[in-house]
Amino acid sequence: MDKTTLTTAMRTSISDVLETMFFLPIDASDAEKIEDLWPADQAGMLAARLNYKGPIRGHCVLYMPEKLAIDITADFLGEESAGLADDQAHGTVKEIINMIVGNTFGLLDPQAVFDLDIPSLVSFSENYAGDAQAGQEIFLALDTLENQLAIRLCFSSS
Amino acid sequence: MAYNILIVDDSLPMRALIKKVVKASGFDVGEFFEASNGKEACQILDDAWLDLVLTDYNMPEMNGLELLDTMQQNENHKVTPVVMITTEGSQQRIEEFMARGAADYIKKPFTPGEIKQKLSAIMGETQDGQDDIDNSDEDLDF
Repeated sequence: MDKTTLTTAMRTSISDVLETMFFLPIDASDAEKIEDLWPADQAGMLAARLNYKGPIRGHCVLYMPEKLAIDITADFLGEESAGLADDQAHGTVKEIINMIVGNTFGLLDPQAVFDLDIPSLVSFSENYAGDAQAGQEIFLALDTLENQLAIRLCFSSS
Repeated sequence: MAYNILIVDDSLPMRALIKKVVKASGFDVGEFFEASNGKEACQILDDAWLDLVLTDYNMPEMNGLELLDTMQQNENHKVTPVVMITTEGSQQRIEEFMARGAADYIKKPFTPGEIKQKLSAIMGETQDGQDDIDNSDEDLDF
């Protein structure tokens, strides 16, 4: 798998999902690794993980401040942030990672079949470091107007 | 004509988002019903009159394909059009959806314009209101 092609597909997918579906303007961040954004013990962070298999296999982790997840959710629900249940913001984070990964693979090769697991919320600190066993990885950081988020895709040949 | 729509997705925010986008599209909706998986959807199908089902593929308990299969085996439900709303982008998977009885599919992310176009075509509606469809992000008024 060509890492550059995969990275390009991921960037396009992230833009499609966050800007088209969730109405969240984003810019590429200068951060190259998660340590440039947050410490491992940063409070108020969410992480969602999705495992996948297909022509390549691995997992993806989305890192996002809970405040950003709440703001995105409140925005499209048309509700006040304070009135939201945690489950609603958590569901948004899981849906975002599901769409980004599915859309990335669709852009990469429409003929290929990938099986995506159901996304789950995981511990931010326990998923802070990359997985040395997982083969290659792509780390992308993004700036929003008031916040930042990041995504890590780990992959290896099936 | 207003259509009753069942939205099947395990994500509550996603169900809310789909409702918002369908409303924004201008498609004529009577009442929205919601289910968090295929099993719940089957119960609602038994109890309510529905014109259209919009379902996610990847769900716990009973996924979208299993829901399609279940509906196809029921004389009352197999005539209700089912649209898969999915992140699954592979041609093979899409062909599988269609072969198993889906009326169409919509890939996430999607715009109100895409929703209106697909749903109107399925329900045999004309596209006279096409000029009113809003495809831009900025002008959406949620």
